[in-house]
Amino acid sequence: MDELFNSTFQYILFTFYGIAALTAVLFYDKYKHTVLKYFVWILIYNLINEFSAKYVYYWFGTNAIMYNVYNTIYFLYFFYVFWNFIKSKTYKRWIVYSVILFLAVTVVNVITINAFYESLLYSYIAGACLIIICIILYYIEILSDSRVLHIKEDLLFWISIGLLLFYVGYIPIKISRSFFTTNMDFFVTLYNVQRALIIVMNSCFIIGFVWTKKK
Amino acid sequence: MDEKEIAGLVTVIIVLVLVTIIITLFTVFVRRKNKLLEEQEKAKKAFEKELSETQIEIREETLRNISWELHDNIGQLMTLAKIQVQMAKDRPDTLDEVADTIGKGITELRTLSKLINPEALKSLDLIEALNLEIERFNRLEFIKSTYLVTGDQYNVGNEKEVIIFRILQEFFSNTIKHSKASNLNVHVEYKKDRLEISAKDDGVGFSSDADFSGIGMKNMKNRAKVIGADLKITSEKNKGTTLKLIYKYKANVI
Repeated sequence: MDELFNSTFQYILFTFYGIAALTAVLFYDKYKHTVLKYFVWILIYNLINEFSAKYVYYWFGTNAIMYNVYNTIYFLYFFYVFWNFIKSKTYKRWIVYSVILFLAVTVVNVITINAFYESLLYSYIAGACLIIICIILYYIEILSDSRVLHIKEDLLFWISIGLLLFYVGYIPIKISRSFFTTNMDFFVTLYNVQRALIIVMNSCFIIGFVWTKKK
Repeated sequence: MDEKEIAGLVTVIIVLVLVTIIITLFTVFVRRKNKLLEEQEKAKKAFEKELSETQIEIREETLRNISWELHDNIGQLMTLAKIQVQMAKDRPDTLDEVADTIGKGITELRTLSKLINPEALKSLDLIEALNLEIERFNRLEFIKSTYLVTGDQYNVGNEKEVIIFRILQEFFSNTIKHSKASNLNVHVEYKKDRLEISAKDDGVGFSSDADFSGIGMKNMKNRAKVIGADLKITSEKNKGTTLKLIYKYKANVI
């Protein structure tokens, strides 16, 4: 029963990844003039990454490096997106500092562990926290001008909601999992929460792609 | 507490935190949106009020101008014609002069009637309206005026043009009534991102703050604010008064 539930959940998850990438391609016209046009490649990359990671794990016994590379690219891309969308010079500077901090943590993390076999926990947590800060800065900015009136049609708003909910939920999972790696029950419960978070995040992306209006 | 319980606890906490975030974000965004909408509504009402007042004032000013023009210009010509006719009783050869004078009067009348035709007035844009105003000053010899338009004309919207025109009209009428100036220079400059209008007279000027806070001045400032323009009036005693109005195109798209 658990087995069935597990594989069904996995398929649902892939379906959501697929739909997100598909809507991104279908509505590409609506946002191709912004830096979010690269997001469609990120989503396709994510899809390929998730698919192949399973087989890589099957053959080599580890796929940590794939996620390490993917996450680093993902974070750097979103720093760039927020840097691009935020207008305030002070906030832009803060984002530049965030990138520097993130890169420093990543480099240290890569030196201290073997990135081929282990996931870059500190780099990930730093990246996620800094992205949350960027999202908050972005919200502060849109709340203070007239962009808030058309927020429902703003693609980045939906993407950032998805990211915010995912990272706020996922950071504690990531941390607690690294402390209790031995227990299988523990792992499974939190893994299901993580999948639910991924579904919520991708739903936000899909809503964003569908509702966004060309400016 | 075993690890399964901890996992459950972590799950519950995550869900609670996420729900809190969603509710908070939703409330904050909706509140902010409503507040902004309210402000926009208020600004719109203020704009409409100013616009209707402005239109009434322009109409009054036009009537005043007409009466002025009838009295000073056409009235004078008719009086002259009358005198000439009386003189022509003895010298019939001067009748041609009379015809000339009456002809002039008719031309002036035609110009005037064209000017005050509501249809013509409605279709006037800022540049033409200002041009007519300046022409009138020169024709009636109120003040020696120059008028210069540079740059590519940009349509800032009829309603806003009306208000800008009224601000300038107010300035002109102050110049003519109080400043004793002999020259008035108006420069309308369409720049890439903004419209800059400067008007300068060489009259007596004013220096006291009391003059700055007069009703006319307040009206002008208020109106500039309503359309989102930047208005500066500087004056130096015995050197003249300068008005500078800057209207940015993009900042005012609603």
